Amino acid sequence: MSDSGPLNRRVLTVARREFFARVRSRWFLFSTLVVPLLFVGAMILPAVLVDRSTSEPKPLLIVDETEERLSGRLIELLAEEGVPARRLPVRDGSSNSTPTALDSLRSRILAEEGTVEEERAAAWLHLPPGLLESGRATLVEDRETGPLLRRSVSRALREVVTTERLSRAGLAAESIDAVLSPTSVEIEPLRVEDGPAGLRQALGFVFAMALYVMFIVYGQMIARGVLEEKTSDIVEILVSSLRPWEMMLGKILGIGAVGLSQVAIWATVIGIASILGLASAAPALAELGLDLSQVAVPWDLIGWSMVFFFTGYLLYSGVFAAAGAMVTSEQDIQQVLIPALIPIVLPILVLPAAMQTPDAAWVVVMSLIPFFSPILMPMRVAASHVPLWQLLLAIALLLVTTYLLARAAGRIYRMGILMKGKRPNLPEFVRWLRHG
Amino acid sequence: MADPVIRLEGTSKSFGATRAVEDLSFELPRGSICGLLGPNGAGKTTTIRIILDIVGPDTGTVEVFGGPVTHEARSRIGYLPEERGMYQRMHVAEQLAFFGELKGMGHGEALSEARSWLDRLDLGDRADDRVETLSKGMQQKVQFIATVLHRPELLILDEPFSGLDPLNVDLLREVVLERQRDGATVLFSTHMIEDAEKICERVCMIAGARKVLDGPVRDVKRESGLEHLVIAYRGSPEFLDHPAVASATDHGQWVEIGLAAGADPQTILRRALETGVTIDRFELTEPSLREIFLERAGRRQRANGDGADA
Repeated sequence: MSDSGPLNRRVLTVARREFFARVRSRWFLFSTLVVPLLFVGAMILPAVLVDRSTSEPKPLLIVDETEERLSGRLIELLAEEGVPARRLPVRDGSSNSTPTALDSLRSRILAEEGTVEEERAAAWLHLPPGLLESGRATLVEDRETGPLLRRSVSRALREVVTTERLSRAGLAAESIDAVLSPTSVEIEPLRVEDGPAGLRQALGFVFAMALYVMFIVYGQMIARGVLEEKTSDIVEILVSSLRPWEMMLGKILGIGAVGLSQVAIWATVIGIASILGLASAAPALAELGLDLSQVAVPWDLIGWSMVFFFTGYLLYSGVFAAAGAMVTSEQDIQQVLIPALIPIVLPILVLPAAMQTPDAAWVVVMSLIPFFSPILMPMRVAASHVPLWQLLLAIALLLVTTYLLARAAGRIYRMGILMKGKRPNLPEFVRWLRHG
Repeated sequence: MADPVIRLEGTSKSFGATRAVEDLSFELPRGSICGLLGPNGAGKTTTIRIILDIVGPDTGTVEVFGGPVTHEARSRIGYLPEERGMYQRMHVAEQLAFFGELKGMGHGEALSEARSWLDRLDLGDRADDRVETLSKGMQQKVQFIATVLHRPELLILDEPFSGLDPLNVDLLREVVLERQRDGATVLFSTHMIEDAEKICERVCMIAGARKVLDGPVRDVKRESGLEHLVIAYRGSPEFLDHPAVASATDHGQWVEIGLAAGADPQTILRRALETGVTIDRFELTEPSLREIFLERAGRRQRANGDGADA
């Protein structure tokens, strides 16, 4: 082990202490377990909820006033779409198709409000007399039923009416089936290896959010760690044994290693859960036209995200270490953390807009700026095809900025760690940067 | 002085408008044990921090082991700061091993050394407890072990005995003297001058950021030119109002009297007997460090024209 290089014995000793002190803490155990549980919960919960809602779906109640009793075939078709439907008995005196028929349905529904029948209806479909000619039916909703039900109803109704019309025109049943045989549009990505575009984009968003959360969590951990050493006066012994930059680097490496171990644990658990979860969901997904065998693991996205995690972490950790060294009490730390957090929060604010237009000029420019690139670039890699030169330029700019910032942070750290009492004012601060 | 372990020359340091150390020069010979004495706020801690290169001096030269304070030099120094600090949630032995490793020891070696020191200082059964569960005095002993663990050639102790009970003071003093007998050089600061008088062979006194005097205790006392009179008496203290008495410090059981230049102590004894005082002890002696310090610091302050307390 070298005794003077950046990774000398003392730096590694500090890094090892930081790592074990945190990995053995209750916080680590808790957060490492809770996050995968939340994730697994988030995957299982919708399935559980869907199961419960489909076990007893509310039926569509049909008031059929057509001469042809079209509701019979309609109910069959709706059942195929998974929409349960029942016919409501038609009451006397409502057999003339006037606007009042709808009104009478309304008043009938309202009159039955609160009864068992009303409670269990998803919506009411009114098939008026002369439907074949007019082609117009009415769906009465109390609560919005959503686009899925509306589309199912209108598709089924169209098929019933068209079949009946063709049959009247004298077409044989087989011919009608041939005419109405279903069509479909298959969706294919341009580059087969990419897999479905939507999934990649979603993954890009998840990665960007994950990077954001990790930068904030581990950054604050660094700032608070520095402050802890100051408030508990350990720093005095440390500076008599090693240089300030060695303390700072050791702390950054140790906490970075905590972050990596945590991510590795999460990735393993979530990966296993996803494989199991997706396997069980495969039949359902296949029905939606999603073939799992087509979904390739986006190695390029994972790889670039890792690169930007490392470089971004190094950049931000210097900022947070300096922030921690600048304050002397727990009360003051928020004041310096907020400015330090702004460059991390800003790309998250523009993230949704940037995802829509990942190659717009402003997004490209922002994704090259060192403070924003660690979060925006992985998103762009997911949502678009980023030219290699842009990726390399972003990383080069990041590394240069990290180097310059680490030097400045080292000076602030050196001056700040032994400071007690008052927070430095701006002129003092500038003096530190110049002479530290 | 050949081969001093510490050498300061013309060292000054200011914090803003406050002068913490002014034009300080002194040398510490190898193997000696030296007290850095002075009242609170005199600049003792700043002097120590300058020696350790924790703060850089504004002017002047600082040499340790005959050169600047390098990594190599740091690992040969053991430093006990005035503000004790440890990772509260770490286990005692592990924490000591960490500090030892920073000074270049191997992990296993540091850990076993730490345990034997803990045994010696009656903390063996607490080796695997968290630091936060220890009492303040225990923590101070652990901190002390961290200072001597790597067998440093130079021990720099800032107020090492403050806040300890007499038993533990003796325990630590024994360790310090043992390290010195093994060849280590010791510099320790204290505002308790009586502490220093018992174990120091040298002293360096500072007051108001300036050095008042330094050198071997014997020389300091001889060169002070002061003769002191110790009187234990029963009766009225009015006999002390005498032209031969330059200063009088009441220690409770006796008074220590600084004699005016050329004064005859017998005139004081005569006066005491005249006023009906019973004398239990009448002894002409060399002055205590405290008296020398008060005399010298007071003279400086009068010369500077500021009346800050010493």
